[in-house]
Formats: sequence, structure tokens, C-alpha cells
Amino acid sequence: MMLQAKNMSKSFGGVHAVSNCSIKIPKGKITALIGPNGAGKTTLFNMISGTLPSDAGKVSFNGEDITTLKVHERARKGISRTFQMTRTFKNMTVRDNLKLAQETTDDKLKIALSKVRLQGFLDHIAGELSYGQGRLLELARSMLLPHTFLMLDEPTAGVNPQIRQEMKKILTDLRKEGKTVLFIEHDMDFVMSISDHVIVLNEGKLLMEGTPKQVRSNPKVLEAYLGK
Amino acid sequence: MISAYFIHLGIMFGMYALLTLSLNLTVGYTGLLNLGHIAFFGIGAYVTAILSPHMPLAISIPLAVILAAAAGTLLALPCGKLRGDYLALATLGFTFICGSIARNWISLTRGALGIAGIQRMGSNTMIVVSLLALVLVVYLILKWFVSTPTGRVLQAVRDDEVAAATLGKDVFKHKILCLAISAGIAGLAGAFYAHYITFIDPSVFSINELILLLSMLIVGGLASLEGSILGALILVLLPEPLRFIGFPSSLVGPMRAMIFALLLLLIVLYKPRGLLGKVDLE
Ligand SMILES: Nc1ncnc2c1ncn2[C@@H]1O[C@H](COP(=O)(O)OP(=O)(O)OP(=O)(O)O)[C@@H](O)[C@H]1O
Ligand SMILES: [Mg+2]
Repeated sequence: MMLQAKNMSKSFGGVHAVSNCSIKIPKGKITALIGPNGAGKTTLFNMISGTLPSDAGKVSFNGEDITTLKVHERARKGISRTFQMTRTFKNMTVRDNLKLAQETTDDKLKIALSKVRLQGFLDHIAGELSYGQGRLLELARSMLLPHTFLMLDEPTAGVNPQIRQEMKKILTDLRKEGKTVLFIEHDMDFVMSISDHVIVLNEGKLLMEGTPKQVRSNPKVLEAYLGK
Repeated sequence: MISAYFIHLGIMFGMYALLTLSLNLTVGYTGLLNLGHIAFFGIGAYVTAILSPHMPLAISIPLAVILAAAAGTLLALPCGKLRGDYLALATLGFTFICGSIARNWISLTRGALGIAGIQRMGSNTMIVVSLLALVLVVYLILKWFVSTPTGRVLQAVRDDEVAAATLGKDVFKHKILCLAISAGIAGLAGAFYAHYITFIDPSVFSINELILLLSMLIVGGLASLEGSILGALILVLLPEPLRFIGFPSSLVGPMRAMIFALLLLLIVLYKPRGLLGKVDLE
């Protein structure tokens, strides 16, 4: 197992965003985390990367307990992530945004950018990019950070369909390199076409997990998405 | 006479340039709303004023810098938890505390009487030359520093500290580093001040000085070192003509304050990034 989160809980006031939820992420695979709006997916992500303190639960990464580690310490262990609400460094150039992930040459940065079709934007100020470009920059940045585990919160949201297709290749290439990917996604075609494993969250709890096929044919999942 | 006047202006400019450059490192580059900067200046001035009778300046001045930097480190500790307005309040409180210590620890600071007869550093010409050279050196070092990977992290902390942490950056450590460097430079400016004016009292911790510094920073622009130098130059020179148009000296002070207020208002309204700023005022 790459990552194991056990009995995770988080409430905001009276809202139980995540309650006693346990998940396991297999190594070297692409895992999708799905569920209706407000299911607690982002909250779970935040607790795993450490940006949100959990009320309860234990996170272990590569067999090591990382529950008490700070955000930057978890990142240095090899966890990289993107955010649902883009978090680029808006007053800095695209180059500086990327260099914060990895000190490297312009040539390497351009290669990273070309994967998300942003080549030629190296000298632009990140805050002046469009919404979709900002998301792509964040994706490129998260991939440049030396990592073994990549967590993407809705990578395709706001991104044009052609780049979505290319993103499938980006993610499957990462798998080929031996990396582990966990992503949150609402686009079912996207989920079904590239995931090895799917985890379904509903109302802060684990609803089910399995292969894309198993999930697709499970009536509980349909019910959660469509309502009773 | 005239040259003495220009030398004095040069020294004031040099001191404010050092203060504004270093304040920009915290406020402009790292995004810490630091209202404690004038306290580091005062600490530097007091430390060397108190120590210099007992040791050479070549030792008391570096000690002033080190103690000011240590105070900066101390002030950085709450920065781990405090953000924005709360940090501003905490650092402002720090300035008041320092002023209060200067007024009340009489055996050390002579309280409100202040410390007189501080050793002069040298001739005024020597002071102005070395101070301006120092401004150049500090400017060049900071210019280099903000473009290093560490300097980049400071700017990342300013723009989004959560994102910086997810890239493996130790945000807290960088805030401490930033405040220590910035405070050390302010302490150095304070030491020059003490050994130039040869007298200090608790008014070095005044809020007016802080406002003047912030004005220089904002007029020049956040995250622009050239802007900081320009801001210091403009605000040091701006009130000077008042002296020559026969203004009663009792009115010069209030007029200065009015001019600064007007200038700030114009900047905030028409040029929110200041003259050369790279980032917006929050
Ligand atoms: N910072 C917060 N303060 C208060 N409530 C929050 C906060 N973050 C999340 N919540 C609540 O927790 C619940 C789960 O939110 P979360 O963002 O984890 O859902 P999600 O599964 O990512 O949804 P979506 O698919 O819409 O992104 C929601 O009811 C949300 O309103
Ligand atoms: Mg979400």
C-alpha cells in the first residue's frame, strides 16, 4: 500500500464532512475518489496532505505513520498535490512557480509546460493566466515536485476537452513511471477510462470501493448520485 | 554650511533607505505585515549607545545588529500562528513594549532623559560616504537574495503559504529568516543613527517614524528594492522646501505630516502599486 488513512474524521461546526472513513491507496495504480458534491472528498484530501488538521484518524505513507508530520514534511516524503481552488503564486512568474517545485533549467521547465500546453508562458505572471491555464500550471507544478504519490483535486475542471484527453495520457504515463495517482473527478467517462481502482464517498463515509466495473454496476452508487 | 546641509540630508536618506529596503523584505517580499520595524531600529540604536562606552564601535555595532536580529527572530515566533491583521497588531504591540522598556528601565536607558554624549562615529563626511556605500551594498545583496531559491520561497509564502508548504517549504523557518535579516539591517541603521546624532531617547520608537517608513515603502512600491530607495529619497526631500519658504518652524512638522498624508492618499487612489511596486497592497 502506498497510503493508508484510517478512521479519519472531520467536522465543521455541526457538519460531519468526513466521519470515520478509512481508505487504502494501492501503489503504482491510478485511484479515483468520487462521490456527490459535499461528500467530503476534498476534506479527506486535505487531511491526507496535512493542510487541514483531522479530528481523528491516522495516516500512513509507505508504511510510515505521518499523522503528526507537518504539510511540508509530508511533501518531502513524496506527496504532491493540487487544489480544487487553484493555488498558484499569483505575483510570481510561471517560471518561479515551477522552480519552487524543482530547481531546474528553463529547458526542463518548458518540457513540463508543454505537457499541459503552456509552453511559451514561462515569463508570464501566474496571476494573469486564465482560470484554466492556472489549473494547468498547478498541475505542471505538482508533477515537477519530486514525488511518488500525486493527489489531484478535479484536474479536468475548467479545462478544455482536448487537454482532458491529453491528461489521460499524462496520468497513465505517470503510472508507467511507477508513480501512484489519486484523483478526485466528477467526469465518469474520465474516471472509468483510466482508473485501476475507484473509491466512492458519500456523506463523509466510504460507500464502496472496487474496480471501475464493479462501481459502475453498483446500485448504491447510482442512488447516491441520483438521489433516492 | 550648504554642504553640511546636504550631508545631513544624505545621511537621513541613507538611514531611511536602509530601513525601507529591509522593511520591504518582510512586507513586500514575504507578505508579513510587520509594524515592529522601527523597534529594531531603536534596539540597534540603544544597544550600541549603551555598549559603546565600554568597547570599540567595531564590536558594539555588530552586537547591535545581532541583538536586533535576535529581536526579529523573537517577533517571528508568533508569526507561525498569526496572519494579516493579527500579526500587524502583535508587531505594533512589540513596538510599544520596546518604547515602554526604553522609558522605564531607567538604570539601563536613563528613561525619558535619553542617552546623551554617544560617541560620534566619525566626521559627517565619513558617515555619509559609508552610509551611502552601505545602502548600495545592502541593495545589491538583497537584490541577489530575493532571486535565490530562498528568496523565491519568501515570495511564495507571501502569495500562498499553504501552497508553499505543499511544495515542501518550511514556511515558519523562512519567516524567521526573513525577520531576522530585516531586523538586523534596521538595527544597523539604528546604530548609525545613534553614532551620528549622538543622542537617543524613547522617541526613536515613535509611531510617527513607523508611519513615515510605511509611507516610503508604499510610495516606492511593494517588492521593488529600487522603489524603496526612491520612496525614501522622495519622502526625505519632499518636506525640505518648506524650510526655505520662510515657514514658521512650528508649522513645519504638521505640514510634513499633511504632505505625507496627501501623497499616500494620491498613491492609494491612483497608483495602488506605488511608483515601482510589483504586487498589490492587500
Ligand atoms: N472550511 C470549511 N468550513 C465549513 N464547512 C466546510 C469546510 N470545508 C468543507 N466543508 C463542508 O464539508 C462538507 C464536505 O466538503 P468537501 O469540500 O470535502 O466536499 P467535496 O466532496 O470535495 O465536494 P465537491 O465535489 O463539491 O468538491 C460540505 O458539506 C462542506 O460544506
Ligand atoms: Mg471538492
